[in-house]
Amino acid sequence: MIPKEDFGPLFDEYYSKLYAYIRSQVANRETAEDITAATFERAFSRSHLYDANKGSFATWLFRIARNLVINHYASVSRKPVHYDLTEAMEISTAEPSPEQQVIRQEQHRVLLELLSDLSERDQEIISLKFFGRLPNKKIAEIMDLKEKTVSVIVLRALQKLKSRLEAKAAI
Amino acid sequence: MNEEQLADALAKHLDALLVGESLPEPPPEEIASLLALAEGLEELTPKPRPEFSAALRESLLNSSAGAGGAPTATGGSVLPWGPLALITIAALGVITAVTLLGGGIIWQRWGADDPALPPNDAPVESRTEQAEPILLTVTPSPLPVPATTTSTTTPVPSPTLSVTSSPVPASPTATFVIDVLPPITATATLETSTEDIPLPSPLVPGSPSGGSGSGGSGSSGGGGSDDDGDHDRGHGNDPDGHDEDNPGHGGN
Repeated sequence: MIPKEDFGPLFDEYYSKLYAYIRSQVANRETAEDITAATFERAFSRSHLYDANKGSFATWLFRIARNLVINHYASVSRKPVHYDLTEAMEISTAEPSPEQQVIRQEQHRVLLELLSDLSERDQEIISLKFFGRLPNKKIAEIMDLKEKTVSVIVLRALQKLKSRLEAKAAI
Repeated sequence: MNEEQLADALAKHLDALLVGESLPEPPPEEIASLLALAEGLEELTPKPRPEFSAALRESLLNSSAGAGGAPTATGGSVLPWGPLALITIAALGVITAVTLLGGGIIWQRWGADDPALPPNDAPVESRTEQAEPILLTVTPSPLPVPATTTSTTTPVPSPTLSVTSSPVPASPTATFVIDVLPPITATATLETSTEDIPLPSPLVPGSPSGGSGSGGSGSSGGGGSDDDGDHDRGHGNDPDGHDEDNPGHGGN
C-alpha cells in the first residue's frame, strides 16, 4: 500500500530513470512516453497491491514497465531502437571546445552503434543498469536472474563494448 | 582475480558511480577502463521532454486525488451492482426458459401436422445400391476406315448410389439426408476417314493393336494420403504471452 501523498515524490524520483529505460527499449519517443504514462497509471491505481516487505517500489515499477514493453512487442513487430544524441541533451554542455564536442559526439555515436550489437538480454540489462540506474540486485529481481549472473553479464558486456570500441578506433 | 570477483568489484564501483559517489579504494586496473566506458554509457541516457513530464505528473496526481483512492473506489463500487446483476441474470434466465418452452411446443404441433415428415419411430434404414456396369462395345462394320483403325472396349467404373436415412430423433425435429453421387458420363469417339478400305475381318476387342490404352488410369487414384498434412499445424503457440492484468510483480 502506497499513501497517496507519496505519489508525487515517487514520480519525481523514478520518472527520468523509467523513461530512459523504456526509451532504450522501444523504437520512438512517442511510444516511450505512452508506456511511461501507462506504467505510472498502473502502479498508482494498483498501489494497494504493493507490499514493501516483498520488494522495493523500484523493482515493482520497472517490472510493470518491462511487461508493458513486452506486451507492446506482442502487438507490433520488434523494430530496431533508434534515438539520436539530441535526446541525450546533456552530452555536449560540459565540453570546453567545439572540436572536443564533435569528438565526444562521435564517440557516443559509435558507442550507441556498438550497444545495439549486443544481444537483446544484454542490452536490456545494460539499459536497466546505466539508464535506469538500478543496482544489480534489483535488476536481478526484475529480470528473474541471480544477482551474480547480472554482475557477470554487466562485466562481459562492458568488456565486449570496450574491445569493439578499440577495434573500431584502430581501423 | 577471477571473473566472479572482478564482476563483484565492478558492481560495487558502478553502483557508487551511478549515485555520484566514489569508493575509498581505487578500482583494480582491469575495471578502471570499464568504469570510464560506463561513464560514457551513462551520458547516453535518453532524456524525457520536460513538458511531457510536467503534464503527466499533473494528470497522474489529479486523477489519483479525484478517484478518492484506488482501493476504496474499486471496493465501494461493487456493492450496489451485486443484487442488481443477480436480478438481471435471473430475469434473463426466466425469459430464455419460457421462450424455449413455447418454441418447443409450437414446433412440436407444426411437426405433427406435417404429413411430409415420417413418424418418430421410423426404422433406421441404410442401404447401398450398386448399379450394373455398363459395357460399351463398338462393333466394327465395313465402314471406310484407315488401316490403323482401332476399337476399344472401355468398362465404365461402376457408379454407386448411396441412400442414407438418418435416424429420426424422438424430438419434434427430423432430419433426412440423401447423398447421391453425380451422374457419370461415358463418351466414345470413333475416328473415321473418307477413304473406303475394306477390312479383312472384324476387329476383336482386346486385340494386340487396341488393348493397350485403357489400363493405365485405374491405378492412379490412390494419392489420397497426405504426407504433408500436418505441416501447417502447431504454430499457434505464443511464447511471449504475458498477462496484462498481472503486471508480473513477482515479489509483490
